Amino acid sequence: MVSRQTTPIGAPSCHWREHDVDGVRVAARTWVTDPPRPEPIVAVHGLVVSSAYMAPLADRLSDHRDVWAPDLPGFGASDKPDHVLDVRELGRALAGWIDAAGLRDVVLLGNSFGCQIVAETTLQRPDLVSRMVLLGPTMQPRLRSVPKQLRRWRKEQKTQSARLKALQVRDYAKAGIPRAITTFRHALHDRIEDKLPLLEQPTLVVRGTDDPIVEQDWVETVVGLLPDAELAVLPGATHAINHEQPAQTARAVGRFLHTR
Amino acid sequence: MPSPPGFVANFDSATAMTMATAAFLRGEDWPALGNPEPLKPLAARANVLPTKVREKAFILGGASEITRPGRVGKIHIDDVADWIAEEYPERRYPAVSVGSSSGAGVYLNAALGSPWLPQTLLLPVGQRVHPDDPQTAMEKGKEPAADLLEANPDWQLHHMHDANQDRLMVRALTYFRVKRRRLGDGYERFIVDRLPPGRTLLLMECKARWKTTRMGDRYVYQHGAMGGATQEEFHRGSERVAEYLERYDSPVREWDGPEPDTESPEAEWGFEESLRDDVVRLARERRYRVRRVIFEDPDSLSPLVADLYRWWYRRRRIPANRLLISSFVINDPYWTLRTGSTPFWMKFNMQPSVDAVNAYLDSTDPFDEIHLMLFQHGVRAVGLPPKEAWTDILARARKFGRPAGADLDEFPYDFAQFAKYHDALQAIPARYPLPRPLTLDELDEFLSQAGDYEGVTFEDIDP
Repeated sequence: MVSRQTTPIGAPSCHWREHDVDGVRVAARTWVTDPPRPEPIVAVHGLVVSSAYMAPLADRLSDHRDVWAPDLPGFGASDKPDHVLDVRELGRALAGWIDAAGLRDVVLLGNSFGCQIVAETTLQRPDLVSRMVLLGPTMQPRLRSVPKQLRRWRKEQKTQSARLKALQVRDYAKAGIPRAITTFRHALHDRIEDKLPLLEQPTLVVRGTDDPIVEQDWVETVVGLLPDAELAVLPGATHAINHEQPAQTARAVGRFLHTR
Repeated sequence: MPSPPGFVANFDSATAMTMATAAFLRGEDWPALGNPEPLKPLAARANVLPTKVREKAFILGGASEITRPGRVGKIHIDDVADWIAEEYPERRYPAVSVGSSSGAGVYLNAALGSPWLPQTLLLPVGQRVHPDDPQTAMEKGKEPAADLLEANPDWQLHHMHDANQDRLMVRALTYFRVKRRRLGDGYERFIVDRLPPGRTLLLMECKARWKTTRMGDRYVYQHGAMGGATQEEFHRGSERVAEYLERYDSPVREWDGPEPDTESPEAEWGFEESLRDDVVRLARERRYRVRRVIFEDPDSLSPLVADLYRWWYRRRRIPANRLLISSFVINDPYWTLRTGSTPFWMKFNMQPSVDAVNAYLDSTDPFDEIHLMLFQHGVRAVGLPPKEAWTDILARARKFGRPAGADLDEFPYDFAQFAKYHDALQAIPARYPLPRPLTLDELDEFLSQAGDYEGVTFEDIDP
């Protein structure tokens, strides 16, 4: 394991850590105390971006919990496998990384496409996951087509801050356009709705009222499909809530973790 | 529909049963054993030819799929999964079944709306030996076998030589039956894509075994096969065997095969257990339920499946008084259900199958009509029943019994049967709509009402 410090923000500060998962080096931003606190949060980024996208929310959540935000294989600072991983392989890789990092009873938190990986990982390895947080979960079955998603995504661009746009350009450049397109295809193909009824972990589902990608009736369906879930709707919040409205989101997550 | 890759046999049980199951799931019937429709009239006239010529035509039909021994190492058996995936309609299924071939399994899977992925395949390999020389057949297989196994690490080989029922074929080709030890990428992708988490994987596990000679780590040689003659007769000879060999003008009066030193899953029907571990692994990851369907012999499932159909018809308020006996690869779930027929599958056309049908008829309420689709293999083999055995079965119908396309006087040379069964089924006047598939809960309901069947157990594996 290698450790390398970046700019410290808040307490605890953010450190990079790396683990080997079946021959692939996976890097993660971590906000961890010594000794570690129980039930750490593992924050899973969305389509093509990286853990940088999770930093604003992670920073706030780390006041009360350890937070780990890995760059999934192929993205950010992690190694790129020979082929583009599909959702099942990304789930397997994330579970492998949780094992390699020695984490247990994690709160798996995802945004957008990250929620699909959270669901997949929990399906494969329920023993690792104590609770789930799904922020703006995709992929709504009604909108499961390339043109529909592209239209939504273009609308979503308009809700993004300049900082998020800059981050996205950087992360897309790192992952490469072919990987972005293939991963998007895999995301479209994946049916999260088939898995949700089997995931018994207590779950918080969060939607921003100004999210153009994820519709209200879909998040209600998600809550209905999950055996044990509650919904939080954040007024004025957008799709990338972990980046754009981190304080509001951290409060909702904190309430859920505290009360459940 | 695309045809299977060139190296697998079209005339084999696994291929034919896959095609019959897939045709039904596409909402189609399965005429002429999946052969192109234009060949039908040609095949239907096959009987005007003298027996010798008919035999030759049958061999040639099989020979078109032969791989030359030198090319066996180029076969990538897993490719077959792509063809199978294309056969089945692209949709999500309530269950997927994997494992042993069984014609009763075809009807069970049709009832449950589940595709079946065969574990065993037949690769016919060119090899000229005298049918009654199993020792040389074994020796000649060694080299291509080594090439095949090296190129296909997930498969095991059962080299099989049956001088009884396959007498015609084994002159020109030798039977390499291969069994999957792991699902492999193709099957796994099929299952993950088309079976949502939480649903059921059915493991079809036939327990049939045979005495074999171990040739290598994943390689056995099987002298003889299930059918009219017993294992002992293949290995030790008998009066029936001597008569049979004399009838075919053979230089020997018993077979001198290699001494068996082990027992293995039967080459064509038996389930190789290592596949189960891999299925359970996938089931854990996808939260599938796994239900083992365990049956002693390939046709042990037949009475259960026949009763299941009868129960299903009664529940749909359809008269359940027509029995349709099918044999080996002649199966058509589509016309079975459209005509409200109860399917009873015979593994072949030999005396043990006659006994099985009679035992079933003894155990159940009589049928008004009995129709018989009788496979023809062109050999007066050991254990071949006389014509009367079939007419006696047909006579057990309360109203009438008739062969569905076969001319019993020509048995077992009536190759026209392959072309005619389809017309015979359509000539049954009754028509019922295709029902929605039975759910697994309904199957359980039937099983709890019907009680135990000899030689069949269902067992759930907790993933």
